[in-house]
Amino acid sequence: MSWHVDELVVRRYQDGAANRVSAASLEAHLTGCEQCRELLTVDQAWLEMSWIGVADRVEPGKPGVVERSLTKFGVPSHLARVVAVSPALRISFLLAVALVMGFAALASTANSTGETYRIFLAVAPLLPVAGVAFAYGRLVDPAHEFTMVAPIDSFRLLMVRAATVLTVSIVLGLVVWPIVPAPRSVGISAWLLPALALTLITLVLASRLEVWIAAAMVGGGWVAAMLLAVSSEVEAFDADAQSLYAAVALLATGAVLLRRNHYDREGDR
Amino acid sequence: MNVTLSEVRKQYGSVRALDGVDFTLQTGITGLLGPNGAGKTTLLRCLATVLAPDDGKINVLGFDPDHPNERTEIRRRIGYLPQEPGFYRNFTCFDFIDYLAILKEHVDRVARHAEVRRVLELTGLSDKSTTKIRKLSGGMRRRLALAQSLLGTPGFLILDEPTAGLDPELRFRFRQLVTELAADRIVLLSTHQTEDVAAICDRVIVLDAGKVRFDGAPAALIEVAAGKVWMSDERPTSARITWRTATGEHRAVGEPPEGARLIEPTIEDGYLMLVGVAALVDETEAA
Repeated sequence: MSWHVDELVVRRYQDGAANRVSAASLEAHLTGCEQCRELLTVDQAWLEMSWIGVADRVEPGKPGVVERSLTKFGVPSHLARVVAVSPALRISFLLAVALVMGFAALASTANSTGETYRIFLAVAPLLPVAGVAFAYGRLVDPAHEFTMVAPIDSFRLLMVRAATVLTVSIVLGLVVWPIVPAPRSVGISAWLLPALALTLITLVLASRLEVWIAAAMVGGGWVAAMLLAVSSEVEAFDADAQSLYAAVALLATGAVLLRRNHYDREGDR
Repeated sequence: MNVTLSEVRKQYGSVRALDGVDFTLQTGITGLLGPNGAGKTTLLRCLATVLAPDDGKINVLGFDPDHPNERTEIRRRIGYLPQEPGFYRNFTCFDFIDYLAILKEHVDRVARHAEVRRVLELTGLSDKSTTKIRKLSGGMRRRLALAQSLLGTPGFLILDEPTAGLDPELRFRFRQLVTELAADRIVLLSTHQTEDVAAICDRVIVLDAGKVRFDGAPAALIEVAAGKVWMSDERPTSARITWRTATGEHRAVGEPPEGARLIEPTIEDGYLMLVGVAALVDETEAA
């Protein structure tokens, strides 16, 4: 560098008194001139904070749709991250649930004078169960071992993820419910209560088994029960059945709470 | 604060993974050696509170993992590197460690990010912070897994095969790092690399078929093979273990024949001698 900046000019620049053209020219010179850079007095603490601010903008990735949505609904950002990481809340899985829900609703309209609406009632409660299976556990979460040894409450984490999955499934069900040609006597609870009961039974079993095994058992049991109900002409969605689902849901809630310390260690079940 | 195990047992079906394991760990580095299926990973998972033993007592830094609240206290104080760590491959290194820091209750965003940068720096991954995990090599992933174990400066580090997949330079850096960390904390590392044990461990425990076969200083493990290692021009038939070296000679471990050319044993010789003898005892018991 054949020329150097006057100290007075540097001081004016630092005080913010230099005009934009002079400042830009000086900055261009300082970039290549170590000797003149030494004239600058730098507040190290400020500089460090500035770099941290820059790094905080650059390093963290952009949150996904689910995480952003949860944050918009007031969920703290750290909790939103922990919930959104769940495979059950990935867009691909939610789309699959929406598609199955939609097909079940369409299939149930095949014969509006008959009883095909029961297809929807039988299928809809299985979707939150599938969601729970994909919400937590070694099979679906590659970082599950890290989760197990973290001090975060595993029970709470499973419940929050299960509740989120259940809520999403219910919302999707509510969206398609109007096209299901169910008689007036069959209310929305006809699939909501079984969905709740099956989800809670899955969570109870998950205190003893891997979540996906629990979900598979509950799903299989439900399908078998529906086939049995059809073959033996037992009404599976009338008021008596609804009372049974409500009672099961209540009992399962109690069991889940009683077993809350059995979700965070293998072999402790 | 210590880590103690008394009469710890764990069984999978008919296989006894841990069969009455007893020892106490104190500040410093303890190496855990053992053949595949010896129970090392089961032991580390029990200590990391991932797995409940069937029987026996474990106490980690004054807390009992059988009590849920104390289990949480242990988790706040340990760093654990699993044998086969899983990753979210689409996450960047920074985001993955940040996520695990959230799980470790680092709630404040600014402080958490500073902690993430600290552990990435410690493991030499600062320049990879914005790289997606799927683009990392196996060795880098290993370092990333190690980085998460250092979050929050844990008092007890449990490292399962920490140097697997690391090249010699990284292994050297790892040894430096762990030696520094062990100045004021307990480190238990499971490894197949006897040279790691010789290089950095104050103590070595050899586990075989779920039982502690040796517990002592690395020098004492070397002593196990004193007078039992020799070189021979021909492949010896009496040796327990033998292999051909680069010079064309055969190195043998076992009971030497008369007039054998004895050499100084290494820690690996001691380990092979010990596990070999243990295997013979097992066969005799089974018979």
